[in-house]
Amino acid sequence: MRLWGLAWKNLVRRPWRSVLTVLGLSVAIAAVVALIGVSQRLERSFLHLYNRRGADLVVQHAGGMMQLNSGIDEDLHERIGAQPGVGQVIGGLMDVVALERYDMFAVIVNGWRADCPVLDQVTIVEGRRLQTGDRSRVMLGKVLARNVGKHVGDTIEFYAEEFEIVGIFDSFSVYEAGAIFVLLNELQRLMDRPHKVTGYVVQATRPGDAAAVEELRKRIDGLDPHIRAVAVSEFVRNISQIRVIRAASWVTSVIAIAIGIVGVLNTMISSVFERASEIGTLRAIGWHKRRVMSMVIIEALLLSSVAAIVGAALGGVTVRLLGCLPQLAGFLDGWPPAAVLAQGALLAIVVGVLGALYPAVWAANLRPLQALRRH
Amino acid sequence: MNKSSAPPDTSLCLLQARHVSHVYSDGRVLALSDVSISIRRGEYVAIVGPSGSGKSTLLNLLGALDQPTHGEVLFDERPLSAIRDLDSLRARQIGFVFQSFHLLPTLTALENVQIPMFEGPNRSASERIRKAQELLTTVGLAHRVHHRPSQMSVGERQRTAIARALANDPPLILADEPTGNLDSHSGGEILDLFDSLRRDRGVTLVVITHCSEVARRADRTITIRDGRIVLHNETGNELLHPNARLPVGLHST
Repeated sequence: MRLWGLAWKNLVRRPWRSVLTVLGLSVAIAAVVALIGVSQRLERSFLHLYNRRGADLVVQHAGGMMQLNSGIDEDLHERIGAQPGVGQVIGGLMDVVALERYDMFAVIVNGWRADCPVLDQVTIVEGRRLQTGDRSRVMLGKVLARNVGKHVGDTIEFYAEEFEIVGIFDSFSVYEAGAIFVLLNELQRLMDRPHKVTGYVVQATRPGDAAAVEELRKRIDGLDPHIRAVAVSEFVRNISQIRVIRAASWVTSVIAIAIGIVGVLNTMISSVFERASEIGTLRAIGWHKRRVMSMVIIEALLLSSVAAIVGAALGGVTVRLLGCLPQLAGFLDGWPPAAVLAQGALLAIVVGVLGALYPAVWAANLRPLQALRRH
Repeated sequence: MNKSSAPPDTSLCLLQARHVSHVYSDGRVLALSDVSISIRRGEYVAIVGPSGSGKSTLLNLLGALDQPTHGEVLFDERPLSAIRDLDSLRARQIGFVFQSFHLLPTLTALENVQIPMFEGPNRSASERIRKAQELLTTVGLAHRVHHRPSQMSVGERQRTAIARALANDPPLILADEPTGNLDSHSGGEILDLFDSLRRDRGVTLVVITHCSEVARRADRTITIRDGRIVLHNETGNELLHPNARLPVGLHST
């Protein structure tokens, strides 16, 4: 018999208590994996979108924490495009609307100029692309069209107006595939923000040259005191919505971890209290304190190892299923990154050890005689 | 036949208590008062006395489970107070047999006997199993190795506990009322087992008992009353006499 074998037998003597502890810890870990997984998937999806477009810099209103609420002048397009080292400039206005009839409360609406390259880079799967003069007309991303059951020729209502669907497109980006495209001037009218864009995406002529891109960033920064140019990775990291989700994820995770620790602590305390006489016997016949501690911690590790596997799997499946929900299909796809699953599993182990520390120390410090008298 | 408390040749002593007193932590109960005994290697000593006389306290002090308030206990001529790792001493040098067995209920007899081996000499898992099987065979439980305590008779449980006490081949066995919970037949088997352990393994036995049969088989009985040694009896022979007056605390079986 080995120590872990003894620990396992101690756990299975109260099978329901052990199962419920594993379940509780698994749910906590699943919540952590799911929340962090969602925030990371969102971030990666955004980064993927900008990288696939070949974007190097994003230009926004300086100091704008809520990017959607800030705006910069549309006429900056030409001034940025005139800078040496600029390959392409894409300006657009963005908003998020609710399609309440379909229980969708966060659908991205992008406003592009009719000559915007984005309209050519998406794949038209039904109908046509937007053209100059298209008023009250929209293109729908394929995922969104599927979720709301719309086809070319149907209408869709938002901003309290009816819009005719002229085209349905597919995109490598889950954001675009779940979005609505309208012409820029149309969205400016709808949002009552004439001649404004949310920002510009700038492609450098020498994207691999970090020094040249940095020089370009500084030049664009200097064009107007009200704008700020940042590298794409920094922009994505600081998207306020993602930051909010990330912060909420960590807060929720800390709460979940605290609950997990209390759960393990409760189980292990109950376990060692009711086995005080047995532990006293072990101490009496010569078991060292460290071996008693090891036994209790191994018990917690066995519990938390099972919870690590179950919790990580459950969290992964949760993120995957969330991505299948129509309401979230435009924001999430795929499994959480492996690193997040590993972090969740590791967290379960840490929670197990932390939760077992006090019971282990208590058990190790039991005086054999006192414990034996509890028999 | 009263004897003085100190044996003549201390070099043969495995265990000594020198002027040991013990006051329990509340400070009001003097459990032992100026007790001195010496126990030679291979000796079989019975400690008798009425309930509350201090027998178990003395056994706990001799087994390094507690520390005397005054005086000193020596194991193999080393004061216990000078030994830093008393856990190792208990694990390797002393085997404990408790009145209520204290076996782990979820483990089989084979696994219970292996428990002390975690702190014993380095043995592989297979060596531990082989050793435990040998010990269970020695105590006549070869056919019960995979039974849990709840599936065994009280006599079998006590024999398992004795096998566990022998797990690390200790030179000393301390037994607290080893036949207290057993019927006379099972109790007799345990005493036979003690006799064979002495004969075959040369272990030193210190047994607390209320049972005259246990005391009769011992080399020496030490009678304690009110925390003091009141009688040292070199052999149990006089107890064999049917008309002999039993020392205080003893009853016949």
